[in-house]
Amino acid sequence: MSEKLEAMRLELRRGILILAVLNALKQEQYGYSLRRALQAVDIDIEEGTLYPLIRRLESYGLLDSRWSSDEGRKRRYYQTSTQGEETLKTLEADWQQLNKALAKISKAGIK
Amino acid sequence: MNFLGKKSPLDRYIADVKSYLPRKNRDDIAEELRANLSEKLAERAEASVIEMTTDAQIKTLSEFGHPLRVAAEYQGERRSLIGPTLYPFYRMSVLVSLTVSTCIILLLLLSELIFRVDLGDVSRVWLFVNTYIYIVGVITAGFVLTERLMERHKYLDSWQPNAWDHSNNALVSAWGALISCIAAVTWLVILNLVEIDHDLDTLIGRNPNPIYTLVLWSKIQMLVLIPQYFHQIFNQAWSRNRLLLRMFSELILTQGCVIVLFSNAQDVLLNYPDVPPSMATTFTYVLWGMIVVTSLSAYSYWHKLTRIALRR
Repeated sequence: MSEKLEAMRLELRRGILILAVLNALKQEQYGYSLRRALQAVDIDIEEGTLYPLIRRLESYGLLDSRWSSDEGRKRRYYQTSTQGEETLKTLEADWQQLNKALAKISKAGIK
Repeated sequence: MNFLGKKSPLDRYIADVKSYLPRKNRDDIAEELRANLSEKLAERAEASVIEMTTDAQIKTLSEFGHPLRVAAEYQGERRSLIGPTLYPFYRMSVLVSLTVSTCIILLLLLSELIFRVDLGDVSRVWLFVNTYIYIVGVITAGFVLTERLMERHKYLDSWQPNAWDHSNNALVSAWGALISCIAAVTWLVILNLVEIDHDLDTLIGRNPNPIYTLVLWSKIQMLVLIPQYFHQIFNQAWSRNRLLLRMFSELILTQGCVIVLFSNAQDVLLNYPDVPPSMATTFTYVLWGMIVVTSLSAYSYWHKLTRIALRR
């Protein structure tokens, strides 16, 4: 059961990851710094999942990116694009709605 | 001595991930991955105060994920040729087809070998159709079995660089190996369309038709090559054993061409009286060409082997 529980917890985390990434990237970050930022708020996600996700979001037009050589290191920086911000608003609205629905179920159960 | 040769663990890891990625964006993804992983290794090195050992670097990279899994994540959402809705029907179709194919092939073999019943064209057509069904079924079963074995033995749960440095040549990639495997299987299917006696006389060039000898040696070469290509899909490293097997595969066909050339090459006209006499000369030249090409190929594998031995 613990394996299945872990899989369900992972699925739950993956579900909110896009929200978390779009929010976090309102400030320009590169891959590794984004991971540290998410870890700092207790969102621990595997790097092998996070970095490909960032690229996918960029391919959807939700993020802008640029290469930069800071401190002698080449880094690819990402930031939420205009389209990304609009998508984020929609997703956040959905999230609020789901949260309210879940709170109602937890309190009163389904009738 | 650093068993990885000149390349660092990070270089080897990036090369492994890159080999599993499609050509489009491959270099860009590799560069970005290198930047992020360099930061991770640097941070670990700072935390540990002393310089990270090769093993510590490998462990850190392994925690990131097996290159095959990482590459799969970069290729987007899960894709499958056949989705979950139809998958049970596909699986049943493959199982039924394979079972029916196997039974028909066994029946045909029994009827011809034991009962000496000549089914003529019926036999040939069925063999042709069944061979294709069988190949598709075997390939599907092969991949299913491979995936199960990988899961059971947790093959993708960690990463270790291969003992031998593999070429960064883009051609030597997992996709190239898959294409080679399919081409070799297709060639074997085509060779099977030629009805020959699989006996010693044909093997040593005593068969009246020299083409049959060449076909038999080609079949043997394909049977040795196909498993190697299949293995190379999952492991592209050029190990000593792989180089030896490849050299051996080339020498198989060289041997066949030599036997045909020095035994019965001229008899090709006796078997095909409608072709012009110049074809016999052309056939001889083709055989010489094949001997040269396969010998050079075998020599190139031998040369790589000696270079690896010297590096040790």
